[in-house]
Amino acid sequence: MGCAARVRLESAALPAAELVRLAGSVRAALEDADGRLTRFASASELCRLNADPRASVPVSPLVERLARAAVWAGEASGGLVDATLTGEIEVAGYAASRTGLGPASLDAALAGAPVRRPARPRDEPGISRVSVPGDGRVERPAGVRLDSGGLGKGLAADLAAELVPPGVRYAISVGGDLAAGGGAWQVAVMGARSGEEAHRLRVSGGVATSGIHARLWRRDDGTFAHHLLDPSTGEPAWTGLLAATAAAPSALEAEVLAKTALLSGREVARRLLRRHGGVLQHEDGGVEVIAPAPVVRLPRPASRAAA
Amino acid sequence: MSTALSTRRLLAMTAALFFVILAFLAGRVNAGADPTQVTAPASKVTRSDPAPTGTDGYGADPSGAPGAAPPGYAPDQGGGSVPDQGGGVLPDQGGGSVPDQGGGAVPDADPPGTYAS
Repeated sequence: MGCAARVRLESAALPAAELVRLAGSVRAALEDADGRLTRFASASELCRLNADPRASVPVSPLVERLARAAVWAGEASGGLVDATLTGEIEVAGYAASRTGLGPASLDAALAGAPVRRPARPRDEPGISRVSVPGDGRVERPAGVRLDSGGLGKGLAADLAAELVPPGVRYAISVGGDLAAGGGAWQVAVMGARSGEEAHRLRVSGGVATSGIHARLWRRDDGTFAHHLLDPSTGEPAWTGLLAATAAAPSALEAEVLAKTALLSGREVARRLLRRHGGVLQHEDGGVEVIAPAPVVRLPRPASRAAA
Repeated sequence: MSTALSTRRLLAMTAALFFVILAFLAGRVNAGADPTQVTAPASKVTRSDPAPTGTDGYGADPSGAPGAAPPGYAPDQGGGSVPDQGGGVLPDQGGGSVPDQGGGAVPDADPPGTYAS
């Protein structure tokens, strides 16, 4: 997946040596996920699945879980988060890892970008041709290739969080997708333009940011591209938003929510982020905080509870 | 009798006023009036409390449908961003959102961050 990870563990009960051992286990799990799910190494399990000519391919539990997450993301987002746009992202100029490469000028890219409009799903999303029967296989027509992308980051953070025992506070970031538990965490939302903290959320569960500014490049024809594609065109989506940050019960859900929000444009994004809260960053640098919907749980009256 | 009626009226008006003030304060907190929600001064920050519908896009709500949790995940138990109720940290009580109910209101000097990558 080619991104940095950061793990923070806190516990008043466990000794420091135990936390260090736990951090080592988390690191090993993240490295295993990175090695299996990257599309930038031909020997990775994901690449071997994508190259396999069989319609039904045995896979490890990790890749099976990724495929199930991808199918869920496609359905839950109405087809906007389509993990089968691998060929399109390669054509757009993102065939190899961009780790270590700085982004192109954001202002130049915005100046040359087409008219802003919400992205649209395909009539028949590619992900709808992928199925996961649950017996350790992934089924899809040969040639339909999965891209782990942000889904892999969120899933890896959640899987690592599953290793943390009760009583330990944890914040596990995989490329900015964060699984945070053991209590509420203050999480800094980094500014798309400033690169500095733009807002601070209190989160328990997951939080993720999807944005066009970090992986932005200039193509040979002079146009600019980024890695968030409009499924209906296969081209980068320019929706008027630079970034969307979503809180959710898990990092994977936050990742899908953030990407769906960014691709949907600001009006729908506000509605999508309303459930758990989030932040929108607009092209003019404006930072819009979406407050989560209030949840009030009233105790049931004793007389009715007894009845 | 009229004295009892006046007393009742006075109590009713006091209660009504109390709830009006309570609703106002709850609205303020919900809108983000939160001393620990630090905002960088360089950015223009607005808070949005939108109507629950939108029409200019195509995205379904990944968190809105019944049974919306991904396969292998627990159903939504309310996780996400957490209203701050005084700072500090409580143990996780089963996943999802855990309202903070005490402890020292100490801003984290080096909080974990979320960013696009």
